[in-house]
Amino acid sequence: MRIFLTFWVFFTLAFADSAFARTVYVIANPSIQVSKLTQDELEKIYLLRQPYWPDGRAIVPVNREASSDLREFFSNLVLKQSMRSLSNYWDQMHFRGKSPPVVQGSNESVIAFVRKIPGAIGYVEELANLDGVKVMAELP
Amino acid sequence: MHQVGEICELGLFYGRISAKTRPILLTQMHSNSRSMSKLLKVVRIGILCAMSAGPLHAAHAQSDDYILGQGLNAGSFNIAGYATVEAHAKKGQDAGLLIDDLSLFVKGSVNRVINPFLEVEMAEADLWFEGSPPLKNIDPRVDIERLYNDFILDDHVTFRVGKILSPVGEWNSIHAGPLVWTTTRPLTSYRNYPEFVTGVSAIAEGLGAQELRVETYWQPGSDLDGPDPSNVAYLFHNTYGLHAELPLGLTDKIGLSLQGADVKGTREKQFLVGLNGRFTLDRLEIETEMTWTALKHPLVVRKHKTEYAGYVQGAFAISDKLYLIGRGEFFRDRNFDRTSRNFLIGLNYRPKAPISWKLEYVEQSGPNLGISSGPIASFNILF
Repeated sequence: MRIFLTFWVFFTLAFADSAFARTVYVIANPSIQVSKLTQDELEKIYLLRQPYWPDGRAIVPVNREASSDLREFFSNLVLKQSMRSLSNYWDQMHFRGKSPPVVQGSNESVIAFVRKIPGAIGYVEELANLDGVKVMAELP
Repeated sequence: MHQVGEICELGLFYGRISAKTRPILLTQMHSNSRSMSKLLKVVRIGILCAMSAGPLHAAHAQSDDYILGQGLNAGSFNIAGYATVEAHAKKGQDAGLLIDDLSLFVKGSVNRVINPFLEVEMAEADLWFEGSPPLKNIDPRVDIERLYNDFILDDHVTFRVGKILSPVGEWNSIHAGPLVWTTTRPLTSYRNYPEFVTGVSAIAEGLGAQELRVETYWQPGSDLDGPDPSNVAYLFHNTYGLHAELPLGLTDKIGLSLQGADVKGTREKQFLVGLNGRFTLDRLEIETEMTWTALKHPLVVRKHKTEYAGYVQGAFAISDKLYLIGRGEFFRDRNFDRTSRNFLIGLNYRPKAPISWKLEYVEQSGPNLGISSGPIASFNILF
């Protein structure tokens, strides 16, 4: 019984850790006149199928670097695609003349970029130092 | 109304599709230097445009980092390209090593009405072929592949003016070596219609819940910087058409192409109907393009008044990076009694998305319409 309880506690904690440890915050430049985004809208933005905000400003999606596990998490959760499929897709879109998401290498640089560029939208893992950007969604 | 049409795209590109049989060559110094001066001129125009428009486009400043496959973001401009180096030992031809494509494009967006794109390619530069010293007969062809400007009318509609890739099927629109599975390009994807159109086009994207994409286009007269007659089966002018594409997934889709054109040098008219599709079934990706072309003129004598062509290709993921490719194609040409057929088996190794190594063997039968039997290998990179 003790062994069973030990395993039960271990697996519960392990599961709880994977389920709750990671929260992704979708942030945007404060000039954007949209306050919330759904996962479907985010998917359209990152797949370059929604190029403009409702006010006509171009959307500039920001991605993390290819080796980032946060990018992998975001790709699986929101875009529901593997990193490799997405890279192929963005390369094809790039060849067709569309701009793939801009890549930034850290939470800080994503925040700095989104703060600076009107129309920019990105995702970060921590809520620290979010001055000058607004949070549009919290995932999952 | 939109305030900004931000993404600035002016493109310079060198590159082109492989697998057209190249006539054995003639090294003419003056044609070589003419090609190079044309290339330099285009590069100069691209750089000047980029420099002059750059300051106007601070609104969409991007990361200045270079990303393999997506080029260099320099302020509001993106400069990228791709290269294909090919080695072949095709039946009836000297074995050779060539830079089949070296492409460069620069793209940018200044506002809703100034969104230029320029792509230039240097193709078929022989590095070596059997019986000749290396680098003796480099004689690249330089072409303007795309040169257009987009006028963004609203979220879904773009009006485009200039030279574009003819939207028939998909291979012709996304033909860069690193983005296709094989070095050998199917005949169906280029032989019997114009690969380029110079004129006007209207593109509607994201239509309805199914995100339908429709492109219509019209080319009055001839193409800008048209193809060298020795490199194509037929020359065309007065082209018009429509391509509709229904996405079924990230890259899965079905497409319908309709295109009318006049065959240059004759008074013959042709009308093409094409279907294309891509379907992913677990580890297998199936891709197909089919065309049917009707030819019309009472005085032009052809073996057939209709032409049929099509291929089916499968790419099976052996692992995350290695793919087994198989393809079968038929082409019943207007000028030949017999149908041309070719079958391909090959491997595609993609260590990273923008890089691929390809090794394939093609077996061809019937009239040779531009694909020869033999092994071909290539290295492809999108940079």
